[in-house]
Amino acid sequence: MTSWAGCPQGGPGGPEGDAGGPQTAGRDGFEYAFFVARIRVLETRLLTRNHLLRMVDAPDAETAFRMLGETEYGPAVAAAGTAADYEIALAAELGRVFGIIRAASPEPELPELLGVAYDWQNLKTALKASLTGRPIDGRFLIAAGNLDRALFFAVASGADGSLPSPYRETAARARAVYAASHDPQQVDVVVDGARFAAIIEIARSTGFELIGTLAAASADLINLRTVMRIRLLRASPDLLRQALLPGGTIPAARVASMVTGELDEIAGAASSLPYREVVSGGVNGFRQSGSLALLEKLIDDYLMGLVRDARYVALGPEPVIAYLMAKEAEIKNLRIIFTGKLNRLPEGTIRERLRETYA
Amino acid sequence: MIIDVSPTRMELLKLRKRVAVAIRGHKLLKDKRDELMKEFLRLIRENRSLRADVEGKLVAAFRSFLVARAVMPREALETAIMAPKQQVSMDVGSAVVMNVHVPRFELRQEGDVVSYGFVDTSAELDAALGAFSDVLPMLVRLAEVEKSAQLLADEIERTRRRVNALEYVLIPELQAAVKSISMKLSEQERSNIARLMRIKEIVRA
Repeated sequence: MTSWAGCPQGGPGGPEGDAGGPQTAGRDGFEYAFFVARIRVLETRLLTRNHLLRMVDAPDAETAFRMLGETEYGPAVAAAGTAADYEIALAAELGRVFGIIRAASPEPELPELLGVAYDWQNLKTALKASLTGRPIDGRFLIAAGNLDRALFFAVASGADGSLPSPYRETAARARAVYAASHDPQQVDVVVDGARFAAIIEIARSTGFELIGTLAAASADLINLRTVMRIRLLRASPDLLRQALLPGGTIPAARVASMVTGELDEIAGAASSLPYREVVSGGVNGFRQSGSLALLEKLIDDYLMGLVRDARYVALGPEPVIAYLMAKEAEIKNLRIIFTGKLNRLPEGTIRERLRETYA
Repeated sequence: MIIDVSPTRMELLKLRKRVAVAIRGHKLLKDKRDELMKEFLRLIRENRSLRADVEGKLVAAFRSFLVARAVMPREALETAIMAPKQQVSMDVGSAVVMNVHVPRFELRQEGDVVSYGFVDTSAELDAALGAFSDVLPMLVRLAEVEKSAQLLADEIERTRRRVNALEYVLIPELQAAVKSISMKLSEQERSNIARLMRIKEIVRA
């Protein structure tokens, strides 16, 4: 899954932002000297676009999986065995990367912040299982989070008391909202909103500015994408108002007003922001194909472009954050390739959905 | 099978009635068979176009779902679709077509098909679920048409056997029996006349 923001996106300070790239305030970057050097080595092992395209061109999924086994995914591929179990290999690789970051990070807050999205995702899964009376499937709880999965099994059986704050309060609010509405969508809306507020707050309090700016831009872009989706679904404007994420730079009232306006208004709303081309490209793509696939790809690509700027930060947490996001984007690309190959999707369909790579 | 009856006038009258009833029944069954065929062909035509339509839409929906699956992590996808919001109910009834009870399904879909948040999910999932939701009523109608066609086909087969049995077995046999009795009665009549004439000659002599 794509780290803390749900959908990788860019924001102020990106390729069109400050020329100096992201900076980390209130932190001595020298403590990261060894770790950044190690990350630079790990970066050289990231898959390039050529690697991915060769896998897309492979005659079948098994061949593509063998090709993946020749990269640093080798042990994970060997453990998974066959291409059908590619999710096991991808999860193992993500776990390995998190293990490296947790073991080597000079600040424990950094891996915690990077893993926080998985905790929120697990909370959502557990809450929905609990509220709808369905048994929770352990395979759908992500192991890369900070909190023990046993906590989420407890949530699934109705016991939220062991959860730390703000998860516990969010769980209580989600349960109250569900009790009143019996609408599982509201559970997601409550948890997603709380997740963004929490990430922005942690980023602010710990001084990880890059994460803060990414989260803010993510909020904007996800909100704009949500407007498009609500329009397509002809859903209620009330739902849009509830689903809007906090922490963005475009006022919520302005985003909410776009649900009935012209499509150009959505592109116009982002015209003064650094990701205007993402939105206008996505809107044009929607006009041509009726699909938001291009918008989603452009959003991912934009974030990757933003994250690439972290290359130029010599010392500090940015290269670590960038590496993890690059790895997550790589895993997303591999998921696109293997789902496509296993289900014999046309190569063009796979290729046009591949995201930009970091390497 | 040969109908074994006494060659009496009473039996002859009975058999003639049975022949008339059989011929009338045969005509009625033929009409029923023709009408069933007409209805069956209409259903087959509807079934053919509906099936092509449903299969095309299902292929598109599954492809769309696969694409959604490709761009979303498995955990996010499973969580998103864990708890549906749309309520689907179906009334099952029946209608009578030429004395055949065929099923009638009435599907009701209430609520939105999208039951998840918008942060971790892809718009491709919205499209896929929308496509599945659109195809569901068509799928139910297809089931109704296919089952109706199957029941009508069974009834057509049964009726065709009855028509054939009447046309090629019962009516010819009854007619043969009528003919046989008529001939025997005629023979008896002639024999009786001959006997009477002979007695009359003896009496005159």
